[in-house]
Amino acid sequence: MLQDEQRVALVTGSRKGLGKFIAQQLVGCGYAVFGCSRTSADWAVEGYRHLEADVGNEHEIKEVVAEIRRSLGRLDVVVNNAGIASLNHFLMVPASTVDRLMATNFRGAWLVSREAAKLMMKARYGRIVNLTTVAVPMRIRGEALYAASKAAVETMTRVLAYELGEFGITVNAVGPTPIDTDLIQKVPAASIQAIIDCLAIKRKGQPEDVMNVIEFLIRPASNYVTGQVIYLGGA
Amino acid sequence: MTQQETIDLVCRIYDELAPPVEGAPPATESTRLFGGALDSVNVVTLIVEVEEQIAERCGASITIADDHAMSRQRSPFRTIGSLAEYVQDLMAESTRA
Repeated sequence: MLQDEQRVALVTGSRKGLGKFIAQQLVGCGYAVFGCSRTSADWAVEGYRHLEADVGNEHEIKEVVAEIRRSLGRLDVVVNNAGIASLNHFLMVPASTVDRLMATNFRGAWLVSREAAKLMMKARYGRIVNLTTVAVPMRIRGEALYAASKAAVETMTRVLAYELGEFGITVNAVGPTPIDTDLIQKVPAASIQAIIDCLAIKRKGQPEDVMNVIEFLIRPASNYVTGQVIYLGGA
Repeated sequence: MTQQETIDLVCRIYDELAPPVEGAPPATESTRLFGGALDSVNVVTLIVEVEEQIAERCGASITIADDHAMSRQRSPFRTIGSLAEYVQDLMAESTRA
């Protein structure tokens, strides 16, 4: 049962990896947390509910937000974490990969933000945090597609900050460095090291580093922080 | 919901969002959405509120600003009446789906 003033969060891509960590941390912070992914989750914790939905599917995302509206009637925080990576030379990327990656990384963040904002604007309060990557400013060979999809997310972040600001909704993004999750499992160690060598703080990121920024951005007191992209590691 | 009920719903939401002006007539079917009492942000708010009210009353999940709405020769966003007519179409489609 929802306690008075208990805030509600939605984390996409929460079946595993960083999304799972963020969802669990938000539960620990007292949020009622909804998560979603294309398949069911193999973990559970009180205060967390998993919904099966593809973020790139408009109908399924409308249903996710409708279910949050029906069951708890509010949505305070969205973390657009769902994402897939692609590492390949520009000349070797099939068009189908472009469509699939953009559908999840950009269209997904777009649809989730749009439907979430419709619920948030009634309460004139909301926090949307999008996940981007240090690959955007670092211009890494082989990451043209992944970085371009996240660059689109960053531009969306900055424009939504203006369009949703008058509804009390802030929109920000956090750009992690490589973190040991499935997302970078197939990336050669030398490529990861090359990224780390370009950082001000030369180490891989930890999920806690990302959560630290998210916790700051979603605080009610952060109502004057919007349209910002925060890269970790000094990228 | 009948078409008249949808018109009444949109009129009510419009009047709630319009800044109070003494002596201003209430919204009707022929009230223009743009260029009238509502600024562009309030028009967006009206559309979102209509979607939500339709979901609550009829259980129909509709998206008013969809591809069809944007590509129609006669925009459904001209007047309260044209918007209500488009909402009726979307509800009928939702029932068939």
